This record gives sequence, C-alpha cells and structure tokens, in this order.
Amino acid sequence: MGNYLNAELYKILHRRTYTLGMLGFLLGGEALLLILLRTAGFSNATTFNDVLGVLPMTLSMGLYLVPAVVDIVFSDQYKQNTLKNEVSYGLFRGRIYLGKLLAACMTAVALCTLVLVFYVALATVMFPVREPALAAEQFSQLGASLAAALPVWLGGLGLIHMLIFLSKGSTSATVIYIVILSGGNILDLMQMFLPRLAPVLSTVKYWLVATPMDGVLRGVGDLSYAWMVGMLWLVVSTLIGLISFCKREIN
Amino acid sequence: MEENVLVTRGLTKRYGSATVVDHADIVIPKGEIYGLVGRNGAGKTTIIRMVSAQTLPSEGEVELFGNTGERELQAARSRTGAMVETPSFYPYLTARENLEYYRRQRGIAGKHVVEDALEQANLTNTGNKKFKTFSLGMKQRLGLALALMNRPDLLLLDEPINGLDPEGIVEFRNLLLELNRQYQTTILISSHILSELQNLATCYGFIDRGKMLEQVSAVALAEKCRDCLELKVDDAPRSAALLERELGYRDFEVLPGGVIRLYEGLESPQKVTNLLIGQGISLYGMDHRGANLEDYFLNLIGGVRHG
Repeated sequence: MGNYLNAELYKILHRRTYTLGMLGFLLGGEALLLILLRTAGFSNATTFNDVLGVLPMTLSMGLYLVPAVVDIVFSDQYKQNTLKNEVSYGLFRGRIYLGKLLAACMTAVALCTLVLVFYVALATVMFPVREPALAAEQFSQLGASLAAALPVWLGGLGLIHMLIFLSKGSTSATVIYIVILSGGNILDLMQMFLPRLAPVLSTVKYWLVATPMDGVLRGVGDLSYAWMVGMLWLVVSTLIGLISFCKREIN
Repeated sequence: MEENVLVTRGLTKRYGSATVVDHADIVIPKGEIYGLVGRNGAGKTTIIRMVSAQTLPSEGEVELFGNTGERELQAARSRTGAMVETPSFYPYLTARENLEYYRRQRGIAGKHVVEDALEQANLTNTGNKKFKTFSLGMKQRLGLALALMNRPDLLLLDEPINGLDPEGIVEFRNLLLELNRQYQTTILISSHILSELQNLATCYGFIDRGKMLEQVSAVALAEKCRDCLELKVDDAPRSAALLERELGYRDFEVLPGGVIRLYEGLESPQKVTNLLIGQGISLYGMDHRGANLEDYFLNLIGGVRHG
C-alpha cells in the first residue's frame, strides 16, 4: 500500500495544471474575500476576530470541493483506460480502490490545512487583532467545528469516490453526488406537500451525509452525530464501491 | 522448476447469450514465443484480457507459473508484462513521468529502470513530451516500455505492432527475439500481420469463433506447409517404388486414398507424369501445393467465406 500511495501522490504533484489551478482558485478566492472585507464600507470596523468568525460558515464548501479532490486522484481512469495497467500487473482491486481513497483523503486534508493556514496567516497580516482572548476562543470553536466537519467531508469523499468508480465518468458521478447533497432540501420540500410522510422523511434526512453540516454552520456541531453519520457513509460507500469494482470489467 | 508458464483449461467467456471464448485450452511452455492467430472477433484479445485479469472468466481456469489460486495468481501476475489493445497512459504526464508513476506503484527499485525502459523502446529523446502529443507508434513503444519495465518472465502482447512503421516493426521483432534468447522470456503475441508472426513465433494457436482449433509448433507447421506435388494415383505403393528407383526421389510421403506428396523434383513435374503414365499407372490428379501461415489458417477455418 505504501508503494501505491507513493505513486498516487507523485501523480497528483505532477498534475501541475489541475493542482495549481485548484490551489490558485482556493487561495485566490480567499485572498479576494479578505480584500473585499478589508475594502468594504465597514473597513475600519472589520477585525481579525470578524474574519475568523466567518470561517465556520464556510466549512460546508468542503463537501462541494470533495469531487474535485477525488478527480485529481482518479484522473478519469475509465476514460483514459489506465486501470488495465494496474490490474494486469496483479494489483489487488481492493488495493487500487482503497489506495486511491486514502490518497484522496490525504490530499483533502493537506488542501484543507493549506487553505486554513493561508486564510489565518493572511487575515493576521491584513486585519488588526484587537481581542486576542476572543481570538483564542474562536480558534477553539473553529477546532470544534472542524472536528465535526471532518467526518462529514470524509463521508462525502467516500460517496463521490464510490460514484466515480461505479459510473462511466466523473461528470455523471458529480451530478449524482450533488443531487444527494441536496437531498435535505428536496426532503424539506416533500414534507410540505406530503405532511403525512413527515416522520419518515425526517428520519431519512437525519441520516443524509450533508445534514450534520447544518449544525456545524451554526457553530453548534454535534460531534458524535457528525462522526456517526460521516463514518457510516464512508464505510457503506466504500464497501459498495469495493464489491462492485472487484467484479467490474476493465475495458 | 516450472515447465509451462501459462496454461488455460476450459477458459470461457460469455456476454449474455454470446460465447466469445469457448473452453479454450492453451499450453505455453517456458521460453516459447506463442503466436495466437485468429480473425477479428475470434476471441484473441478476450483470452489475453482474461489471463491479465482485466476480464473475469465465466468458466475455466488460468494457471500462471504453476499457480491457480486467486492470491497466488495475483502475485504471479507481477512476473508478467502486458500490452493489451491501445496502450493507455495519463495524457497530462510525460512518458518519463508515466513510467515513473508505474515504477513507484509496482515497487520496482532503481530510478534507472525508467531510463532503461525508455531506451529499450527507443523513446529516450521523447521522455519529456506529454503522452497526449504522442503518435500511435510512440504510444505503442511506450506501452512496450511499460510491459518490459519489470523484466517479466511472460509477455502478453495483443496486436503490438499496430501503428509501427517498417523500421519500428523490425526493431520490435529484434527486441522480442533478444529478450527470448537472452532472458528466456516467454511471449504470447497476437497479431493480424501473419507474415510478421512467422518471423517470430515458435509455436502457434489458431482460434476461430472463440474455439481453439489447433496448437502446433512452428517446426510442425513448417512441415505441414512445405511445398509439394500432390499426386492421386491408383497404385500408390508401386508409384512410390518407381519414384525412388527410377528418379532417385526419397523425400515423399504416401497418404491414404492413393495420395502421394512429393517434396522434391518440383521444378520438373513432367518427369513424374511421364514415368508413372509410362509404367501404366493411372494418374487422377496432380497439384502443386504449399502454404504459408495465412494459407494454413484460412484452410483451417474453411477457406475464404463469401458473404
């Protein structure tokens, strides 16, 4: 597995255009946000605490960025037909599936760390730190939010990873993934028209991968709930993906 | 010590109601270059895909280096190199990066391995070009470089010379022959270019409509394909004795049904006819026969079918 991960990370680092483009988009977006906050009407009032307080509200973006991370690793292998090179050498399909999943997880965590560190570093330079004690408390809250967001991201990552392996291409997988992420809103709408099914629909919504993120965004993330739902989606999607990939024709 | 590198027993592949490979039995001894001959859609690629685990068999078994269990087979595949259909690589990586990726993935020690593989495939000067800019011939070469990178004991090559120019075909042939000679590399190669297979293979397997028709060594095939005069006479033993006594011919065979195949004196058939007829032997027919691999294969599958 070590060799496999080594190779996947080598490939990611050498996929320069995509990787740098994604980094540029994320870091550039952050810089733009901070510049806008700095130059907006209330520039004198905006402090480091204010911009730090915005962070937990942006954590749901992780769920929507996960397809791009998985795509960096998977790299359209069905379209390029490169899986046959791995399978014909005798690599177990389980190792291929899990190796790519692990590489995607590592890449996601690395990107997340880079994005957060960049944001905080730039914010420290651009905004005055007026209340260090509050900042410390905010960092603590941010840590708690991240601890709740991480398993949800991993659940989403497992889901999109499964979908990419099951489907013909990353585009259709991403579309299905977005529909599943939007499941909560769809179920809320259904409850309006089908009030008798409300208990069932609520239960289903409870177990959707994106639902724990609601609490994270409001800063009241339930850690155990988030880990339960996130890990459930990660484990179940990995099992389904593994089993189906082991039977799949590589052509 | 393994004698047979690859054995398939009853290997079958079905897609729905269509049987693409039908109980194929193949035996490839160590050190042989096995030419798999068949028409488009005969099942050649499917057999190679089943051996290389890209496709799961519907029935039957594959034995590699004496291993049949799933785990052992997977481990045994690390001793093989495969090039099946069009070579596939990551288009955004260079040739060098693509090979380095697979070197790391396979745990092959030594970065020089990549350079050696590029050199062997005559791609050293293109190492920094992205794969998406490669011509078909260059892609084939890179595919071969990958297949050779782990110094395989068994090479599985499906139509490997497609897209190669004449010089490339000669280089490729010489490379395979050198690998076979120097490292005893066993090779399973399928190709439509039968003339090229004739320059390479030491044994052949003929397949048609998913069924293995025949497996024969190159020596035996050459024997079957020799030029000869085929005579149909009413008294074969007497005719044979006359040919030997009067004309000094010894290289012939007497077959059932009054048929004699004469492998010498082909340049002067009238001597044979004059002799036999002059001695009162009835000569019902005389035919100049001879076959190359293509003729042999076409005869095997029943000649050229007209639609």
